[in-house]
Amino acid sequence: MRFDWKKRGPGLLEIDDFRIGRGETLFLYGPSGSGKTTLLNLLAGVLLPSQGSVEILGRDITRMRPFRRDLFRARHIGVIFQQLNLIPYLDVLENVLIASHFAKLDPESASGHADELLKTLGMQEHLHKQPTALSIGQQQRVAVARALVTRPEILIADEPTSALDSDNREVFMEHMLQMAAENDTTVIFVSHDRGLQQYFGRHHDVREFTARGEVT
Amino acid sequence: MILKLARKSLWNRRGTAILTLVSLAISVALILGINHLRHQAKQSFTSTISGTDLIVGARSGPANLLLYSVFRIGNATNNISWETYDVIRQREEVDWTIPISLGDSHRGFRVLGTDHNYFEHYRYGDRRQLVFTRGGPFEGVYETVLGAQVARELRYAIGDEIVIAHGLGDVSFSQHDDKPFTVVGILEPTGTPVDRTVHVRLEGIEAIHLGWQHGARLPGHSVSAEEALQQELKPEAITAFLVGLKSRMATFRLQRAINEYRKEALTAILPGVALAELWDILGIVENMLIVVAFLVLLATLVGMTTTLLSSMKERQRELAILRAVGAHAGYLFALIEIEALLLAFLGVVLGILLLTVSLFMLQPWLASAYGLFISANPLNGEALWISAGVLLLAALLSLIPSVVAYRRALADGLSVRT
Repeated sequence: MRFDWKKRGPGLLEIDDFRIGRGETLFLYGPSGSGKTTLLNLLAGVLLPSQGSVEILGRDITRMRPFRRDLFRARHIGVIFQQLNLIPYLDVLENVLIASHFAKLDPESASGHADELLKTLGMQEHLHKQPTALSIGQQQRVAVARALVTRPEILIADEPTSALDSDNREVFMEHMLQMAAENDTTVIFVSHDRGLQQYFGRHHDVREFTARGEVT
Repeated sequence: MILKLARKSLWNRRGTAILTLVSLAISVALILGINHLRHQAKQSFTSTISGTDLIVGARSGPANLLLYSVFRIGNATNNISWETYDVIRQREEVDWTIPISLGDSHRGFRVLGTDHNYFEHYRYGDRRQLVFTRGGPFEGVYETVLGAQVARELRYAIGDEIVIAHGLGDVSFSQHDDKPFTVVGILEPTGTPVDRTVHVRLEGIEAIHLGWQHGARLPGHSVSAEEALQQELKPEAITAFLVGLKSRMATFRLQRAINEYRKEALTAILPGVALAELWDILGIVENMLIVVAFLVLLATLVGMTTTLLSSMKERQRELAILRAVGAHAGYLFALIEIEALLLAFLGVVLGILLLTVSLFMLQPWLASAYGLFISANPLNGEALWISAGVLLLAALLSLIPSVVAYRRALADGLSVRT
């Protein structure tokens, strides 16, 4: 598996050629405002490059029709945000299953998988709690389950540990990476905290992709 | 799934959602209520009297004559002398006449003096005749037949004695208490002012006024009930009378003859025409009410749109999550639309419920205070169209927040603008 992407924007990101292999774990760092989130948006197919293409699993997502691209994201990409990952009016299990709903997976097997994931994450007692009743650490664990319930090939995480204390952070990282590895999922992890880079196989500074080295 | 999301999302914001719902329900109830009242009032109005070709009274406006003779609202400007009544009823084109003598009341209900023709020839609605629930027409001078509502509200039964008050109004100080009347008949409900009328013979009206002048008892002139029966009780005047003709062809000719009658200033009206004219006058008010109700509804829907729009900011995170798990931008558009429609639908249902309950509770009061006989069921074809219109309008107005959600979904992606 490989990623090819090229982007020639008016200034923010400019990437000639960048590839990530299946199962790799990639750590992207850089100060805030350096374009990390934009990069993730491009990868997830939520934003489109002004030029060039983004190829995932051998398919150019920039050439897909919007509806196809959204379905592609639902099936092949899991996303974890910094915080507030959960929809406040759905309970824990529903929050996880909403991902499989959009991926159009069989509800029964998805529900079984969701149970399994939440159990691994130590959340089996909280299945029907509202997100507001959970600690931030627990919320982020549910977010991991939601991102992985579709068995995606790619997991995109946007500073998911920034709101966690150091103990929780370690537990979270280990859970996330271990579960991703079990599924041979490529992990693309963005953070400004370089203390986390030890967990990852490859490291890149986002500023490598910033136009004409503006930030340096 | 999208319905479940919309439902749960609304429930999550139930504070504002419920307020929006309440205001929607009120304005839906208002617009449907006004529409319903309009239809009901018109129907109640036009079915009050039928089969009568002409109504004759002292000279006055047609509306006034119609109101006091048929609806028992307001007062006659003058009476008609018995001689005149005699002359007209003996004309060859006249089939029957019903004399009407008004002016007294019984505990807020009007007393109407008439004769047997009333029970034989009076028609209402779809040419329906008056039917007795119990008893029969009056025979004696001191006998009375009650409308259904009078009997029901005052809990009268056959054989009860009632006292007629002089003049109108709920509480009268001069009672004809020396000459009580016996209830001999109770009519079936008709949904017309007949239900609220106490019927007696013209002679009864005469009898209770013996020894009275200018609305007061003459001292030393009191006449007992038995003595009154010995006297000639021929009425000198009546308030109005209804005319049925042998052939309707003669209607306009007789109307002209009555209007040009030399010995007395009279007005003859065609009930159908007068009803329509009166309705036209009310129609202006009615249209204004509909316009106001529509504006209230519009304001409510704009309010709902504003609420949805302002909630978009706090919902950015939620929409970004949905985008991240693979929701199409169109899905978010549909989600907001469905929320609005769900609110509007609930608003319509609640509004209809509110209206039905209020109609049910207001029914007796409307009937007793205004003579309006309203059915408690506001659902008819037009109400359904109005409801559909409310939903359509809600869908149209909520396009604004929906489009906002759609465009933000495309522009902001997974990031949340703060």
